[in-house]
Amino acid sequence: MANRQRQLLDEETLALLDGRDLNIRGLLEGWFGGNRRSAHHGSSMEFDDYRAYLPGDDPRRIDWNLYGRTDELYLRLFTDERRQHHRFYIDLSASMAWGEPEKRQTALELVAALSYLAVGASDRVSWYALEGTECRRVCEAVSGREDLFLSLETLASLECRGDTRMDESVPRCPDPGFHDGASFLISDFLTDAPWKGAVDWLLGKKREVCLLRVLSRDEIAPELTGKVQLTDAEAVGEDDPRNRRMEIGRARLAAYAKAYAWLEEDIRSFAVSRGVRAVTVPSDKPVGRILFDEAIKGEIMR
Amino acid sequence: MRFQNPAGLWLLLGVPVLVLIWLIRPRHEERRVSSSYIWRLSDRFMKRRLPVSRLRRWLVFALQLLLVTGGAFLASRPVLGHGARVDYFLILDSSASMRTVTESGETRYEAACGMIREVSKRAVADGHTVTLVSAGDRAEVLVRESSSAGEISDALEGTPCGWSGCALSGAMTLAQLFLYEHPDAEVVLYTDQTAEAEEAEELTVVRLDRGEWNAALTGFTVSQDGEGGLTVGAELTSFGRDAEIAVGLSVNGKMTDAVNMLCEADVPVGVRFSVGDSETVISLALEIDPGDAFAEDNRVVYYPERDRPCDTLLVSSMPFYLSAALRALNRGEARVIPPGSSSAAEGSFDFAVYDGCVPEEEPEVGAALLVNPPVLPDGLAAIGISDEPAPLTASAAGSAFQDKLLGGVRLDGVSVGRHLIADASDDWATVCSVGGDPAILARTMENGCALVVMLFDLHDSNLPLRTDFVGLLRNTVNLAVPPLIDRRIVAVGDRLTLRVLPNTGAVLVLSPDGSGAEVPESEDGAVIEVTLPGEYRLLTGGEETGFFASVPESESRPARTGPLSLLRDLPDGEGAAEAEEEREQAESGLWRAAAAVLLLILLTEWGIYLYEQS
Repeated sequence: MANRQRQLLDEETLALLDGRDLNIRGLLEGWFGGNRRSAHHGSSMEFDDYRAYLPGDDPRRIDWNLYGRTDELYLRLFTDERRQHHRFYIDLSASMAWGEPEKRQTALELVAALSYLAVGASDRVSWYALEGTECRRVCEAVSGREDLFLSLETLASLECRGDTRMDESVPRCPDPGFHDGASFLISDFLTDAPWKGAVDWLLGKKREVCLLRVLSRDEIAPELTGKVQLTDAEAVGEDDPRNRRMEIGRARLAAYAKAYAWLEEDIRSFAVSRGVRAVTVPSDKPVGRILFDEAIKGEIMR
Repeated sequence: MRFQNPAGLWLLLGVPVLVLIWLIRPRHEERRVSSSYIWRLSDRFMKRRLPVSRLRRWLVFALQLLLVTGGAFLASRPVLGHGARVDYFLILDSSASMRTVTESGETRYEAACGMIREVSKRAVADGHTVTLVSAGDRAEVLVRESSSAGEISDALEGTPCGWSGCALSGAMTLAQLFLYEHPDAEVVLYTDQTAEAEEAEELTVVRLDRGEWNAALTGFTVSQDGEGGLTVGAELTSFGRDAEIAVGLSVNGKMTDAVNMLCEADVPVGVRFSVGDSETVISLALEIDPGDAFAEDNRVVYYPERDRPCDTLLVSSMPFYLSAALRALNRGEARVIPPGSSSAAEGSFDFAVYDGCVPEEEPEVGAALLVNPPVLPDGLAAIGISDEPAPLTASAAGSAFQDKLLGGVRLDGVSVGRHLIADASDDWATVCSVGGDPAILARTMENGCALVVMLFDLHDSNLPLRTDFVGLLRNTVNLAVPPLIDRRIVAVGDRLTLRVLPNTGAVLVLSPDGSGAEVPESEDGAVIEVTLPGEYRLLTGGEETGFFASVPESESRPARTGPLSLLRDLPDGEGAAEAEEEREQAESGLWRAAAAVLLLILLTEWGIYLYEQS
């Protein structure tokens, strides 16, 4: 078990994560007792603002010193800190079991690292596996690092198979939450399914959405040549339309590069239009470097 | 369709090789990918491909197939049209007999030309070539491997039928050489020669003899009858049928005699005429006019030989015998001077006789006769004198001089009572001997003068008393002034030498067609080529003579006994080795071509593979 944990979250990565936190931009709601600032005023020790006293207000919050200077009653307002609940949706389609190392491995390591940051900030995390049209709960409401480490074994045991339709599986999340944290969609987004619907659905839940796109090196820059029969890992049978016979030469590779760039731009422009953060990471890049390159640049971590 | 080089079809083995390459060439390799999404997405970024580009592989395959099959067919040299690929080699008999007029009114030659034009037109239209050879007095290529019917027609137009024989052997040699180069050539001979032997399979003979009737005068002879007259003889043959033919004799252009001859078909009949006074005869002509198909052998003309005048110098103290004999020759007056006269050197003479004396200098004449010379010329050394009478006989050794000097001379009964015994060097030819000793010798001097020496005095012999002395003297004079021509009847195609003397000037030769040509004087003689049949007139120095040119007797009824053979197969010996070498070279070239084609195909495949991989 310890070995599995170290695979997802090794000591070196943990050392890098010290002093780091998730970059949660919005003032979200959540459970009491956390460390995240809330949109509400509460009873923390951090002064936030004044407001005129209204009948029914707690007279203990009146700032008497200010009354002495102004003969007006004002209440002292303090920030409210909440505990947030972040949810990680992990694409477990067959295509994620690809690359060297597998995209699944990189994705799970990222999930573990980001979860480590989250629980470090007293937040809770839940992991969901997107399988076909289902959204299976993997671990829910993990809080605290000890709990996290215990849960990593479960996370590491996830296997990829079949096809995933995010537009159908994400809305089937048993507890998607509402305005209480961030939702991370981890996938390669190489699908014909309209995954953007899933993002919109999450935004409808007032979640901060982060798209983590994990691609293998041969997906970014393929080295195939000649006459090939491309068999899609998620294809069902030989007659699956996703299987394709083609001659790969210079022209085809150039077209692939254009298609790849077009897809990147499509995701980026979609993310901008929705206020969503999107990061593409290669699966063969160490997670530590991903966190300090793509995650920081993508404003996922700070 | 057939193939001139069937070995070229081996190249078709490249087709299964090509198909094999096509079958075993890499197909679509199955590659599993995480997702084909971007690949499928890339379709919209691919340049639009023309429909033909989708068929590129098939087009390349089709082109390769075409290349291999086309190369194989080209190498095998297919033959199309009329079931055979033919290079025509046509031999046209251009001999005189081809002038025979056929029933249609045209000559055999014209009929043959018409056939050749037809064949050429068809052959050229079918893409074949025609080589045309004329077989006249010699075989001559008129057109070589021509593909133009017009060119062939023009060549026929510019080549009239000849007057001589048919050089068929030369033409067959050319045909054989042509067959070596073009083993499938069609050799066709257009001729009127009849032949009993079967022809070779390689040769097609188009016979133009339709059995036209021809009567011919052949074997013309003229002889002295011993009474000052002439006997004229000939053979008359009616080829093809029995006939009664009138034969006429003309003397000096006037018909003097005629006779009707019954001729059995193909059997020669002798004809004989007598002419009274030979001295008055300038020309004799035998002729028939039967209205046969070939008129060129119906007449023969004879011009008797006439002695040419001769300027003679006789140096003698007792010139009786010699001057009388010279007068009898009737070759002109001889100038007689005594020995030692200084005027002997004056004037120019054709012939000089020194009797009992020798010239002070080497005589500048055509011939000189030294009779009983007191001093022997170079090469003769006196040994002694024989007083024993002995007959004068012709030398047993024989020589050209003997033939010339003793021609028509009989020495029977001629004896010599006293003669000089001399030793002669090899330069001298002994013409006559007396008791084993040379008595009459001859040689040619360095200046060309023929020198004849008699080692006895005419008074010591009965020779001057005999008519043969005149004949001997005539022959000696003829050494200086030979007859203008040797033969009086020649065949067309022969070459005749004219002896044009320095003193007589050029000879004007009038041909049967009326044209004239001057033959300049020449010591070695001028050669004229006889190209036309008929009478030739020769005029020189007031002298007129002539000769008759006849078509070769074989043209009266051209026939051949032996078969004409041609070999289509390769010859043995050295030729075979060369041909085999050529064949090996051709085969090696074929294999090189096959290897090149295969290499080209492989390179194409490789290039396509590299292009696809790039």
